[in-house]
Amino acid sequence: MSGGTMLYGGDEIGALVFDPGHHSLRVGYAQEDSPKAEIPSVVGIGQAAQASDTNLDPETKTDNNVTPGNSDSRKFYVDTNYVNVPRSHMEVQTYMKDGMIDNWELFEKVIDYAYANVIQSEPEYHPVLFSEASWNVRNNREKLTELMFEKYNVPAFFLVKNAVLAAFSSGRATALVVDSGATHTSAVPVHEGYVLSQAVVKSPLGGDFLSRQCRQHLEKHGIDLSPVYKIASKDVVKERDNARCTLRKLPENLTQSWQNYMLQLMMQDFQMNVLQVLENPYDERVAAQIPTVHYEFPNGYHQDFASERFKIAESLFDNAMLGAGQLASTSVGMCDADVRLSLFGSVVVTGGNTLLQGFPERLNRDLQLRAPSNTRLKMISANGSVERRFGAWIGGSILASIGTFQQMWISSQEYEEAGKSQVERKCP
Amino acid sequence: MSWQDYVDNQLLASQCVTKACIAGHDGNIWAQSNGFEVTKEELAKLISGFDQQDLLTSNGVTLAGQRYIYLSGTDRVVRAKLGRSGVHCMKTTQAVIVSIYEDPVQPQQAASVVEKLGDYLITCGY
Repeated sequence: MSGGTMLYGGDEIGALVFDPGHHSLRVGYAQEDSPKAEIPSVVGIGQAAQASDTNLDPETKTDNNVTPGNSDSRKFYVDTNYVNVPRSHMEVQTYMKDGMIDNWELFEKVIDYAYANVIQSEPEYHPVLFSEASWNVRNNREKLTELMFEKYNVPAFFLVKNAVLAAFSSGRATALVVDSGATHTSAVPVHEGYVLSQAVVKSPLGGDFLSRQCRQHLEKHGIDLSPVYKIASKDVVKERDNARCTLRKLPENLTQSWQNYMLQLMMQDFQMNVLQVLENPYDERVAAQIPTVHYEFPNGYHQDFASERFKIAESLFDNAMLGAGQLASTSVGMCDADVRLSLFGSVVVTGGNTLLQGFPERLNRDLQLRAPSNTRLKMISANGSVERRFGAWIGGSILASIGTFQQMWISSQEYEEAGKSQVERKCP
Repeated sequence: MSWQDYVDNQLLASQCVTKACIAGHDGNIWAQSNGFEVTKEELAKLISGFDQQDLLTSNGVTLAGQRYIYLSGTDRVVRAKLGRSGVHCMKTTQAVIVSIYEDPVQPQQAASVVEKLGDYLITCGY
């Protein structure tokens, strides 16, 4: 390739798609149907290198300053294989806040990791498409643009709102995107590929909220929540009997943040397997008639779960202002009257938290109640779990591979001429 | 250069804008492209919408009798769309540049052209 100019030769685009979220960062190549990697959105921060374990940690991206006595030579651990290992003094921190990238230092470490271990190629050869929150602020957008062009020297860059990408992945340019993820549930109307930003509604009730509810419920019932890393071996016990297990010998000084993180992972597993939401608002008698679900905890304790499965999940829908159905109808109400019908006619459900059993059906019912009578309501919720968890990423993969999109990238030349504010013009 | 020159030779000539007009903050039209029948009232409403987005979000942007759906905007820029065509407006120190683009022009292309001219006018004091 001649320096600077990009040759777009049909299939040889080689663009990368990054979709940062609170739960994970999805990374992969455009034109593929799922991301290459899903990197958890947390980074383990360890203390400066101890003399004994410098040769046992080949995974750290060296900080270029491992000289002793330098107070900033911390080690960073990225991705599941390195974060989930019990280590003394390793704090776990997320770089996302409120749907947007907040801690840029940690974020850079994760991007470095992605290029080195997932893409395994130099950043300057691949155009990069990033997704962003539908409420992203100008500062963050410009900062990301600057980071990608200045530090990584990408040849081309583009930013798209993740709601637009989710709509594209369902083959639509106009839709009401209901995205329920780890930290937020939001309703974003998209018209002809552009977000109607005045009508974006979001609530903090998401997957993490449900995990916390599960944890509270289980602790209240005195169930011992020891995550997998603590257990060395366990015995078979009868249902609801006290668990009998032997504990592992763990390194000292495991930080509270890491332990909370591991506990949260365990709660997520419980949540995915056990929780379900009813099609109609929670009713004790209806819930009692549905067969129970059996779940075994890492320490060997196991029991059946009945009505509490529905009660916990109900909290996503029954809140008068923040329930998912209410969010969607409020959002449509804030839109121009002309588009409302088309929005109700394509409601796209996306986000990992929507894989909760019964979510789309309940949302459909709630929306039907709140929409004006005889509106034709159509919900699009992909059946495969991959399509819903990675909805925005897949939309990015589709967009970056379309022929007509190739003229829309912000090239490094344009960036040099017009600066980082070009992102405001080219990526509305 | 006269205002009409700006409209014809800068905006329309770029091929990214099909119709355009430049007007003052009070709605008085300084120049407009051929066949673009925008009225002073429509412009006045649009201009007050720069500061008060609510006026535009519920009623959209009406230009030359055509109603566009408001997408987003700041106190300097207003974007609206209807199907494959759309509106991109930019407010400068003393004027407002209004542009309409149609298929196959992409919104970003019209935005680039309009905002480049807008930034230039601001540096001139207009």
